Amino acid sequence: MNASTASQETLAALRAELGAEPPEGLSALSDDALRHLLDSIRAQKAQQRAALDSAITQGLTVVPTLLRGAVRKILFKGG
Amino acid sequence: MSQVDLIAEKIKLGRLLSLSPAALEQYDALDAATLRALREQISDSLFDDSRGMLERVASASRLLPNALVASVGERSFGPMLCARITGLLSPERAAALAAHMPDEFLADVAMQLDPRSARGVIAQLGKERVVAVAKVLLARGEHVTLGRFVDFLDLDIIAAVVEVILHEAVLLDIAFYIEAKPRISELAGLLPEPRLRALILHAGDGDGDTWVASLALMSHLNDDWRRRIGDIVVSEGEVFLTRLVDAAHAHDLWDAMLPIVGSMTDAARLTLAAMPALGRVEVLESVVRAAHRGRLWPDFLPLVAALHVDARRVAASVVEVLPEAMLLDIIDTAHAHRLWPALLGLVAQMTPSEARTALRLLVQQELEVLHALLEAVDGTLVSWGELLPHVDHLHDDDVTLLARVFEDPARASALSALRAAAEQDGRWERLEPLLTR
Repeated sequence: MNASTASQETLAALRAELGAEPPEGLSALSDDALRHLLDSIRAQKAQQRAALDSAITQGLTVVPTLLRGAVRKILFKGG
Repeated sequence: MSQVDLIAEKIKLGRLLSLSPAALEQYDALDAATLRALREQISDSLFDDSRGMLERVASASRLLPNALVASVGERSFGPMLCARITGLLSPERAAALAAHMPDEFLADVAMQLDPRSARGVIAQLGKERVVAVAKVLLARGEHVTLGRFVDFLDLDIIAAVVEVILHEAVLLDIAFYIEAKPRISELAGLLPEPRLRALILHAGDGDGDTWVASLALMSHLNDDWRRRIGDIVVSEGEVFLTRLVDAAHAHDLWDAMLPIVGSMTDAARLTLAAMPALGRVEVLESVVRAAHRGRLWPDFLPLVAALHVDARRVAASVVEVLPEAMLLDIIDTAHAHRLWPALLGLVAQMTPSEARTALRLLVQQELEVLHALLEAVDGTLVSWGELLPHVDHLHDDDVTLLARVFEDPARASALSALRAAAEQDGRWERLEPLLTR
C-alpha cells in the first residue's frame, strides 16, 4: 500500500473508529475521501448518541411516576 | 461483483451514513466488495458505540407493559433507535412489541434495521405481518430495503411477498439489491413459468441499463436456471434475440451472456448462434475478449461449434491472431472439457497461413492430449481434408511431433484416414517420411 502519511494517520483513526481492520480496498481512496469517511462515521455516531439521550429524556416523561425511579436506576446505574 | 452491485452498495452506504449521492462520489474508487465490507463494519461500530446504553434501555423496558414500551418506542425513540434495540431483545419480546406498532412504523424501522440482527424477530412476526409491512415498503418504492431482507426471510414468506408484487419491473428492481446472490436460483424457483417469461421480456423491453442489470442477475443463477432462462429467451424469437445480442455487444455484457449460452440446450444454442448479428466480426471480437477476461472458454467453444460455417470462419479469424497464452488456454479448455470437436471445427476454418501458431501449439501438446484430439477427429464432422491445408504451413519438426501418437497401434485407423485424405490432395509425399518414422 502506497498511502501517504496523512492517509496512514486517517486509516489508523478509522481502524480505531470501526474497532476493526478497515477493508484493504480503502487504500484506493484519496486522503480527502478517507478523511470524509472518518468524519461521516464520527458524525453519525454523535447524532446517534444525541438521539438516544433525547429519546431517553423524552421517554422517561411518559413512564408512570411509580416506575420512573426503577427505570432511571437501570438506565443510569443508580443515578 | 458487477456494476449493479456497486450501485446498490453505494445507495446502502449513503443511507447508513446519511450521505447524499454527491457526497458518495468521493468513494467512486471503491469496488462493491469493499463498500459492502465497510458498510457492515460501520453498522457494527454504530451499534457498538451505544451498545451499553441500548442494553440498559432494553433491560429497563422489561419493567413496563408492552403497549407502553411500544408507544415510547414509536413516539420518543423513533425508527433508528428502535432498529438498534431490536437486536438486543429476545425475538419473542421484539415481536410482542411489534404487535403494538403500526405497519407504517415497522416499515420505518425495517429501513434502519441491520437484517443480520433481526432474523429471529422476522421469523416471530408471522407471514401476514411481514407481507403487510412489505406492502408499505412497496408503496414507498423501498426496493433497497426489500432486497436486503430477502437474504433473511424464509422462502414461504418471500413467496407470499412476491405474490403481492404486481409489476415485473419492481420484482427485477428488488432482485438487484439482494446480497445473497446464491439465493437467486432459489427465488427464481418461486416464480411460475409465465411470470419468469414476463420478467425476461421486461428486461428486453427496458433500456441498456435494464439489460445490464438483468444479465448481471442472471449470471448468479445456477446451471439449471441458466438453461431454463436460455430456452425461454430463445423461444421468444429472432427479434428478441437480435436485441439481446445487440445489447450484449453494445454494453459489453458477454461475460454475463456467455455462461447462459454455455448452459443452454444444444437446440437453443443453435437457434441463438444462427442470429446474423453473431456473424459480425466486431461482435465476435467482443465475445472473445469477454471469454478471455472471464476465463469463459468452456462457454465460448460450444457457441463457436453452434455457429454457421460463415460465422465460424469469422470467429476463426479472430481467434487465429490471439496471443499464444490465450490459444493455450483454449487448448487446455478443449481438453479438460472434452470440447475438441468445437476447437477443431474452429481451427478448420482458420486461414491456413494464420493457423500455424494454433496448430504448432496443438502438436506440441502432451501425448495424452494428442490422443484425445485424434479421437475427436475420428468421431466428428471435422475431417483431415479440412485440416491438411493448414499442415502445409507447419515446419517439418512440428509435423514430426505428430508421429509420436501414430506409433500407438490404436491410432492405425486414424493414420489410414489421414493418409487417404493426404493422398487425395497430393500431400502424402511430404507427410509420409515425417509421420511414419
